[in-house]
Amino acid sequence: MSLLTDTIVVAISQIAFFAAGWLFFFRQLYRNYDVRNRIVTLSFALTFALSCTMFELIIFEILAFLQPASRYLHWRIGLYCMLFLLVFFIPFYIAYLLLNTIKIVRDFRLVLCFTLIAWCFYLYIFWKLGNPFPISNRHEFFSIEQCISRVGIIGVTAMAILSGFGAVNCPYTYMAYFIKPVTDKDISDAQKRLKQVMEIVATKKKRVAYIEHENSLKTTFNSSFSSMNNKWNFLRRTLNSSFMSPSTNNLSYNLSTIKQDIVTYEEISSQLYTDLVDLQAIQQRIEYSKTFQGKYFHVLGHFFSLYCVWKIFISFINIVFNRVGKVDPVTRGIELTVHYFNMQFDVQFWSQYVSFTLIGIIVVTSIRGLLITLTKFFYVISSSRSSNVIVLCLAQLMGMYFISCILLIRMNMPAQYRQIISQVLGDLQFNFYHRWFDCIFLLSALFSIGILYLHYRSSQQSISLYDKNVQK
Amino acid sequence: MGTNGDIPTLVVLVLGDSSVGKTSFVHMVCHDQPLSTPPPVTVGCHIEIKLYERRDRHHNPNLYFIEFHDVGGSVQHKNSRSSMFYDEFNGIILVSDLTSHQSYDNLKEWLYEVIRYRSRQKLPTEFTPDVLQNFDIPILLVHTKLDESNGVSLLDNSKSPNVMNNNHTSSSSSLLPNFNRKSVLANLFNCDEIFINCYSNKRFSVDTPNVTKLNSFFEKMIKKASVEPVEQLPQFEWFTSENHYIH
Repeated sequence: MSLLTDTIVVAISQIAFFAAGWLFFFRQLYRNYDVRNRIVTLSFALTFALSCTMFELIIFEILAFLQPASRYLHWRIGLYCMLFLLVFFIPFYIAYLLLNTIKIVRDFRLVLCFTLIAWCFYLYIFWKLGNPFPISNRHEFFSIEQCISRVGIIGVTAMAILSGFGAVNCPYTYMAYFIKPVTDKDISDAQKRLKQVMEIVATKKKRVAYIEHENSLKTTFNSSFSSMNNKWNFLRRTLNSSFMSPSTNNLSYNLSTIKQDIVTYEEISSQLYTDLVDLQAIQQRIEYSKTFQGKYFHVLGHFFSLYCVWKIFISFINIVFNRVGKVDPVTRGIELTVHYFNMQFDVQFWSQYVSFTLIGIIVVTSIRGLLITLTKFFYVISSSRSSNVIVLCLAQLMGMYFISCILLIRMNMPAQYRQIISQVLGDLQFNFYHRWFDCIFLLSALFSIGILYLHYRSSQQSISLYDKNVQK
Repeated sequence: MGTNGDIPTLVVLVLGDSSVGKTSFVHMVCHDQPLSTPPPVTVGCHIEIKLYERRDRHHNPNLYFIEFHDVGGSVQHKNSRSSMFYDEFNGIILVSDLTSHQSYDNLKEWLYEVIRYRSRQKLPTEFTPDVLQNFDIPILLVHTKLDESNGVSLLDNSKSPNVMNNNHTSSSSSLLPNFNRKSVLANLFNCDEIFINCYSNKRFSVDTPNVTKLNSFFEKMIKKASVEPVEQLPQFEWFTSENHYIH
């Protein structure tokens, strides 16, 4: 009986998550994306619902909310469904959509055949992916551990790349408008520069159009006279050619230099425009930070920047000194307080609530952060042709991200709660995942530092290019 | 109207969602041939110039520079667009994609963005048709990707005064770029619309119905922007043929 009530509770929460995923999809992504494909939204919302259910089960585990047996059952059901979606269904549908849009074959059955072939190829690569890594001790095929280990690798890699980029980007943005605040004069200067370059481009293009118009008039003028008397025509043509050839050569030479100039100025104008957009974004952020809510986030942002820098440092230490944390921060914090402040309190009781809060915060912020990143990413790379495929790829990424989140969250939980994760996910080498996360995190942070530096350099360069070309 | 030497310039804003084909359309109109590959996403504003010749039978041709400001349509740049590009223009071309109904629905929002920027009062955030009363700048609607549209119809079946009303059921599923039937937005804005495939191999100047509509749009802009006496504008079509110099 209790199993039934537990199932009902979980089912209700799953429906709530499903509705939330559907709403997110339609609110955030639909505005820029014309989707008529029910299956795409369905798989996205389903992936989201299953991921949130798994997080919810972790929280229930800490709170000891439902029966352990029913928790375990729901874990396994959720995991199987998730794996089915991530490994089988979504890649199949992505291959099907890609082959449909390429339009090589029109016959439906042939497309299905090619999709199956592509999907088998994908499964083969997916399998081979796990071989170089020391993931699992078991050597059976098609077991849950094998699938999860491979999904975990991809997810952990994605997570580390995103975290690395975020950890570098956050201090950079706070530093940028802390050090160099943007004034109205900067923005109006940037606008004037852009307008000036646009006028130059327009003037040059008008010149080109006028010259081409004159050329076409001359050729029709000449050709209309070709029907006249031969000897007059002969005389006229020799005179024309002897007088016009230096000027037409001159004109065509001018034309090609003007066209070359136009290309240069168009590049300058697009670079100036992106700089202007960046400046306006910074100014908007400054204005937002003057409001009350903005001040709160501003202060939080500084703390978060410090945390990011600390995290990069710690991952570097972890790799260099080859250590993987065994104890979660909650227990360590409690041990420290007991040790240094000599406070005796009920460790069991407090550790449960503190770890619940910590895990809850981690879960909520990672879901929110991922959804925001997905939205931004989607706006940047979406186009009307391939939106369906992009949404499915994002759903796949989200599913893998959440599974690896669960793998890594294990480290943040006290030992007595880790049991269910180890039990459900099987016998994986969890330490390996942490080490892999640290490596990729560090690599991605270094890479992002390089990219941001190049971005900064190119914006400096565009201003110098403008000065060189326009102010002469 | 700005002048360059002695040839006046008219500015046309080309607006629409991202990837509907604005840059391809503008290139087709100005250079009379399609681009070889689809262009990259426009960042900022891409400028193209067309030298427009007006002819009347007895005088010399009038030349005008038509400057197309092809504004990139991505959502992120919404705030920077208005103050930069919406300041001066003589006409607006709204471009939508026949394969995406969303881009057609968003045309109202694009026009509203421009109206809101230009009007000094505070306007509500939802588009209502009465804001168009004070807006008298010439508009043209362009629908691209005609070859891929597969018979989608944008036509406003309820308002058509056509005698072909009884043939609606058979013809409403086919695309009819018919002069007498217009889509909802074209009726709302009271303007013309062009259906075009920007990558067809035909030159644009031989596509007579579309050229006619485009030229009448240019004429409307010229009439509004200058104070020319009306007798220089007889009411029949102008052809932009560069090669009829001598009658």
